[in-house]
Amino acid sequence: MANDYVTIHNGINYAESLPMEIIVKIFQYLHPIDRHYASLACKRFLEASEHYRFIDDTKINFCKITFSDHFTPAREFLKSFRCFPNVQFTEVEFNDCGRFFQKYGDDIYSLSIISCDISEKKLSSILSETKNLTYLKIRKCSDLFISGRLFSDMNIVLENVTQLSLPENRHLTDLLFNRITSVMPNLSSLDLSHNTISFHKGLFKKYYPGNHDEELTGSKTVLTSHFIQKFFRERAGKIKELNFNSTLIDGNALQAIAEIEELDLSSLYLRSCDQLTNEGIIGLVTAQQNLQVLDLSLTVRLTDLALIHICDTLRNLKQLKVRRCRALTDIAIKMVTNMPFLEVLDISECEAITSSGILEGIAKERNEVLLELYLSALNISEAAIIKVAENIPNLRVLDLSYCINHVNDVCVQMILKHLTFLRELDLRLCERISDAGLTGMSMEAKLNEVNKEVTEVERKSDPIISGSIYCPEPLRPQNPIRISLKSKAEQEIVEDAMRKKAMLQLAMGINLQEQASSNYSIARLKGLRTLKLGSCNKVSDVSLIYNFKLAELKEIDLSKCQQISIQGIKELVINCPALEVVNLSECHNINDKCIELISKKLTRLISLDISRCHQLTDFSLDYIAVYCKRIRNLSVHGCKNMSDEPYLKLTSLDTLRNVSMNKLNSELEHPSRIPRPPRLPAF
Amino acid sequence: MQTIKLQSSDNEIFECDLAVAKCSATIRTMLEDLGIDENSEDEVVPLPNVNSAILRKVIQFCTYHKDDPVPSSTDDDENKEKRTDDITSWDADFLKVDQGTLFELILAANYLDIRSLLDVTCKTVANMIKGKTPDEIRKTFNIKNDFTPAEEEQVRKENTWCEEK
Repeated sequence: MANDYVTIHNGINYAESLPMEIIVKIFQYLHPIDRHYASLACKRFLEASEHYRFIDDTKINFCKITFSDHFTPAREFLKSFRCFPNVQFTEVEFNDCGRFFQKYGDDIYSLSIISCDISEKKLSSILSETKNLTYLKIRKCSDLFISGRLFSDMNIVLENVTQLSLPENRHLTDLLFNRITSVMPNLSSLDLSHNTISFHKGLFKKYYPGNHDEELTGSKTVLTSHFIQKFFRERAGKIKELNFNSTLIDGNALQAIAEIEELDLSSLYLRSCDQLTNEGIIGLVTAQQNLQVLDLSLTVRLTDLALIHICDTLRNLKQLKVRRCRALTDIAIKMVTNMPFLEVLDISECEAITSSGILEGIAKERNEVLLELYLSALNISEAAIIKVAENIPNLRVLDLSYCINHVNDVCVQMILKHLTFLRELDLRLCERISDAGLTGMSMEAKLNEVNKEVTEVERKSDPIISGSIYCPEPLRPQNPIRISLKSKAEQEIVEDAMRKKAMLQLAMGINLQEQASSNYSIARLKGLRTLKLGSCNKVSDVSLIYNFKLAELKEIDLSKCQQISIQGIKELVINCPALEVVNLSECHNINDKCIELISKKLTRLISLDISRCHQLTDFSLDYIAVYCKRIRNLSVHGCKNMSDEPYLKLTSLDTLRNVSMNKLNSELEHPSRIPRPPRLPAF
Repeated sequence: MQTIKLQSSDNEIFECDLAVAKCSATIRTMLEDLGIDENSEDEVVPLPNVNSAILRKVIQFCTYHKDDPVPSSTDDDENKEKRTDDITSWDADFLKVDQGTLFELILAANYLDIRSLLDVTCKTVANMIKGKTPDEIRKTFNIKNDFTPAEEEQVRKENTWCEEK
């Protein structure tokens, strides 16, 4: 679009002469990363980017270093002319850093300390400098808690801290919990996720067998819900947000908390709480009717009874997440329409849900409120997906990943036609999608057909036929008597390649074929930021070549797309200059030339996954080392033609934090992230 | 139909619909505060900050948009999603102008307090920034790099630790 304007080079500097409030207004329309780049153009833009509205744009993350005033990077930061409101330390060893916090302490507004080796004394001295702190997170810092002395000699009060997050701290005890919360009198949000908390009343008696001193101050060995509940009772008027993800909170404890007088929660996170019962959730819902955010994902015992109660009672709910609550059925899922303000709904991996749960529920009538819909790994039909596209026009996020059986080109076309506001679209493992769906080429007739017989769509006999329709004549088995000796997989690979060739010809001669195109290409989603097409093996270079102009696209996943090669990458790097995260793992046609293009053209690249791309050699590493000035994460796992020690080639990159190599496989580390495939179609 | 006369900084007089002129909150307030009689034919509203070329464009924009629903004050919500891909094709064509005109339109929209024009012009400029490197941004807007090499190096070093939140 920018090319439509005539740039004047007569020396007048229009942009800089604008009043500051207008520059700020223009910057409001930019994504934080674009704002970041704009701020580097000149000092006035830098000043605009430091406006309080943009305070949450960025954070400084010191990672895997020793932090000392006398060494890089703290030494350089002491010379800075900017301020840094959000600071995070990850795997940092703290040394003498008094000057850094004296200089910047007042500006620090959020502080996160993750997996750090930090002493109680050091933390106290840091916190005594950060008087304006509003957010404090301490995660996985067991050493800090092990002695039990934290804050024991602290006489300051962190009055402005309203959000406290203490996840995954093994040695957090009642005593420490009491002491930490006592120095923060104005907390409104508390995160105790991933901690070992004893919620059972019997356990409390076991740990406090009539010891009155300890009952006052708290145990030095365990964290029980007794003091947590006491804390809520004392602060009931202020507490608004609680996070008990991955704890053993049970129905009774939840109900006891929910029924505390004056407690009026707006957000509650209970993801992966195995002990929760229907009764507990019903008790919660009855007592806390003003909830706006409720996350019950992976809460296995949740059934329809509780969800119906939620839908009937929580009329103000904006976010509901019940991912992988396997007992839920269509009966309850249909009821979500009772909540008129619902903006986010996650019903992924609820394997009992069928199309009718969608068709008679969330997509039944026009819904302009819903913004995010997660339907991953559901067994829903083409008709249901089309209805979602037609009836929920304001969707920003749509997740249809692992809906293996039914997301086809027609579904994609309907999404592109109706959901033009999408920011994120996840279609991983929707293997039936082909170039036709993403480009609209030769789709017009097909779409007309759908419009005519919407109701009959589901009865279509052979679902696989949609792929072969676009195959040019020579592809079809011409003589049925000739028997192929190739395996089925092999046959598919050959067919995919042939289809790509045919589509490529079509793309080149597109003007001649205009009447056949639906004109709904992926470029309609002008604001799209994330596009995941992993394992969509029918998607080829053609999609990237034909109308793939996505100026705001930040993340693309093309893993296991075997039809992607240099031709497509060439266009991708020009059409999507804002890309930061690129996943090309297991794309066997990717070669060093592709990596050269990516390294040179994608100047914003932060994360690159090229694991198991067997054609790649050390040349790729050299290109990355020379051109990728911002790269933080690189995965070259299983690139068998690279040297065994890729990091030796990459020493020039001072931003690089994580290199995944042969030993590690990020996917294997998180096996739970891959959902089970849905069962076969039931109709 | 009632009309009103507007006078540009270079003393050109424009006669336009009262409804069109009232797209500008500034003119609206002027008429109310100064008690300019809407019926008097001779009254001229002076607009010393807007030249005739720009005023002509502004009137053209307001004439096209005069029947649009007035955005309620809640639309100003800071949390509201800021999109730039929702510019209508008429507006996009209207704003196919040289950069000088575009920026003068922004200033005029700001001075005359015409929300819709200010929004769409700012979005247009934002679109010119998106996806560009600092250097490309400088070239696009003819901005001089006023960082010293030392400052640039300082910022570069700091930014190696900078992440999106």
